[in-house]
Amino acid sequence: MNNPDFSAGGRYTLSETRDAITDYRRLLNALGSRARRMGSRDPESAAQEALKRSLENTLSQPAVEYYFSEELPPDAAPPAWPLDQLMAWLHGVLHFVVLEEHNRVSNRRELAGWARGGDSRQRLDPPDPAPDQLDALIQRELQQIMLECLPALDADYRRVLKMRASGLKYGDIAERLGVSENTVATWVSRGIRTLAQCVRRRMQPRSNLAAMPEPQRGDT
Amino acid sequence: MNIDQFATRDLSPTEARLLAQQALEDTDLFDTLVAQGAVEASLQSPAIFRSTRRVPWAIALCAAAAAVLLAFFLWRSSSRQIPQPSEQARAIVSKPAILPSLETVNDRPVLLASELRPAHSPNAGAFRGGSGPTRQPQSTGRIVALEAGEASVNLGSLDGLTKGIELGPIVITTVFRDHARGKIVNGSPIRINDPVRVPLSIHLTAVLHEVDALAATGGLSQARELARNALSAGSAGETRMLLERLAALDYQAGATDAAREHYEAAANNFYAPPAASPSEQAATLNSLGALYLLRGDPASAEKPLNQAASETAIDPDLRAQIVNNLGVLSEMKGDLATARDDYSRAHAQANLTRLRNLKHP
Repeated sequence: MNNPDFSAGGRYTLSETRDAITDYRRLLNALGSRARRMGSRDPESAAQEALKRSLENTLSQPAVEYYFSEELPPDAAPPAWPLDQLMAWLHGVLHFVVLEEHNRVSNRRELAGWARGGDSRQRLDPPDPAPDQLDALIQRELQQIMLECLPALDADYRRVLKMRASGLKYGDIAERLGVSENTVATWVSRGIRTLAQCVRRRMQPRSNLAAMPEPQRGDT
Repeated sequence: MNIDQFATRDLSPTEARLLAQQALEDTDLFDTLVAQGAVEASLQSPAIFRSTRRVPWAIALCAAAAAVLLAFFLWRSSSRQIPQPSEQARAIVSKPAILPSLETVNDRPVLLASELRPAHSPNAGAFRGGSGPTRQPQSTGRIVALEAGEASVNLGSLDGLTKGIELGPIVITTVFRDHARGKIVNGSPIRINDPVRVPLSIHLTAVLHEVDALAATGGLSQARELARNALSAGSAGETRMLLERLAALDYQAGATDAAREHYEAAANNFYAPPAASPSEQAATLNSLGALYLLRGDPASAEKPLNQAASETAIDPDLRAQIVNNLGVLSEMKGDLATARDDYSRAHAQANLTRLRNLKHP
């Protein structure tokens, strides 16, 4: 994956983005580490690209600034997004960026073959999806986590998470199930931790991708 | 401040920021927050929960068919699933749990090694184990009576004697549980109280039967002690099978380290006379590999499992077990594509065996 062109598009200029890299050094390190676990061959660039997209998005940007900037202005207002929503968003963006990277590697391999055949019209990476498409893709990634992992959950955990997702408060769930509120909280917490394990499993590098050769910069 | 407080929205924004900073250094916390976000995201699309229940008819039918086949398969092959000695070991095995292995328990891959299973009572032999008074097999006895060219000895079926066995100058003709009679060959000069010795291979077989009988009737520790004590009776090659049985008993008793060490010792003596057959080698190496995987040590499991898989003249059922375990190994190493291939091959091998058994029961 080539280093992202931070000056292209978005509301952040090149100099602002350079500042952002400094401001969010720890976040970039964490994202880079996750990108590596997801099988990225260029985790640093993947992390930068995910951060760039998160700062370009008007909804995620205030949350990123509030939760992860190195120094928070004293008068900073809490963002509309809670922390877990931002984390899920970052995970989704990063997952998508790594997926794009893998597609690029595949395309480069194929395009290298096509180029040898003389079809130079095909020697371009496919355009990135529009921002609203990115939202949809991230939503799909989160849905996929739930779809994959929910059936494996213990019935009690699944039941309370379902009730929680339907908007019920812990007290309401406890009343319906005839258990204490503490039990509900425990089941929710354990259910979420089990889902977290599923998230971890989903970040295992794909073996078929690992077998691919290093991307050849300049092929495109 | 912790994730539980956050989950119940008990954290202030400032505390949530501190939690966020903490998550940058703590992968588990990061993942938990992502999972929490995924759950909360379903508030916007609660259809996720519904969609987990909505199964298309075609898939439902396939799933039902698969369940029937799996039930049949598990019923037929339940004798091959190794018992799990401890929760810790189970957790290590099931950790990858991404793909279905040849057999699964709660969607967790299961290692297969029939050698590690408790011995069935048919191997135990009559008059052994806990039913009625018994004694351990003896390797030596004495002549207790002489009459009309026949000798009586205080050794019997418990000691491995069968009709036709030669005890020095005596050919056994009648066998009881704890004594036997036989003809004296060519009028050999023998007297009462003369010692007689059971051939070593017969004695070790008797010990094996007694060990199986004790284990089958719940006397696991007695069985292990008997097997351990008998190890000194012969050479490394002669007692190798006993060592392998002891390893299985160790495993059944939860002593997985001892089991592994005994299997390792057996594997080191495959070529000590009498040399181990390919099937014995493959079964032992498969069990050894499975134990390494139980310990969460795929690196050490690789060699014995690959060596077991390289044996050609082995039982197809055993091959299916080995390939299944290679799948678990690949899964633990994160090589999911290879794991999937291995499980497919194991399934194919097991199904082939089952078809053959149906044709030639």
